[in-house]
Amino acid sequence: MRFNVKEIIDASLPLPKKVTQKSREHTIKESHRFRGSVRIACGKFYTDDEFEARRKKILSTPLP
Amino acid sequence: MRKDLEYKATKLYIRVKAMYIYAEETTPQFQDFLQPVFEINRGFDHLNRVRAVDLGITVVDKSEEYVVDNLNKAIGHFYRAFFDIVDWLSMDLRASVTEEFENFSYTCIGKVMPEYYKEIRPEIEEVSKKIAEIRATKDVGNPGTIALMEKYSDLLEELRAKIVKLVKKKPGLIDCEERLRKGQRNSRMWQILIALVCVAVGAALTAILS
Repeated sequence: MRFNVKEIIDASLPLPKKVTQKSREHTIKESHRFRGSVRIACGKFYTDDEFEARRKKILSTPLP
Repeated sequence: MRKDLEYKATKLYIRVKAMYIYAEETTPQFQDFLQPVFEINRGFDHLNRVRAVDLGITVVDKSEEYVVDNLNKAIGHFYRAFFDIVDWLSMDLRASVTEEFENFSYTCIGKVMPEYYKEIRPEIEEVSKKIAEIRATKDVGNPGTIALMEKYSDLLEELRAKIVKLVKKKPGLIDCEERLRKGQRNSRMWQILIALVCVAVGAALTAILS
């Protein structure tokens, strides 16, 4: 593969802007392809919406 | 300038890594939060742009400016990663307090662990509010950044230790709650008994007077 070093080094990394349920399903489905975190391979991570929902719920629950 | 920024970026990264490992080990839900990892990756991308210039892999105009700009961007990403992590940690702390103590009365909590209302609860409120504020503003240019990060990571660790100590006092809380319920039951019994006596006396007086 030929590429322009200057262009590649200054390009943004194609990381997901948002972690969604679809990303989780995809991660679980493809987990046999990579080694690494067991939690991630099992889909044990928050999607952005879940994290925000949990955050809102916790912050709105008054402390005892 | 450049050396300072490199020093700052490396120090920030070590702190971020330590906090991520700590958060992952202590999270009660066993769920990871991936946004900080993406921020770390973006930070590394900027550090590698600097490395490419140093090694002569890329040639850029105004290389000093380019390097400083990329180091600042890397610091920005590490900073964001840090506040994502502490936000996650403070949320878990708050949730653990709510889950552990929601079924206990204010009276018993105040009696068995007086330090909770005096210091721990205000600290939790303050920390989660401040972290949410910083995370929302993402004020990367703040020169107090590293000091601020050290302050928050120490504060969260201290808070966690205090909460662990509180959880150990739970048997005392259960005991107090039982005593309180028993006391309430007894006083209700007395109220019923007094009411019955009053009714009986009233009925007797009515019978005598008529």
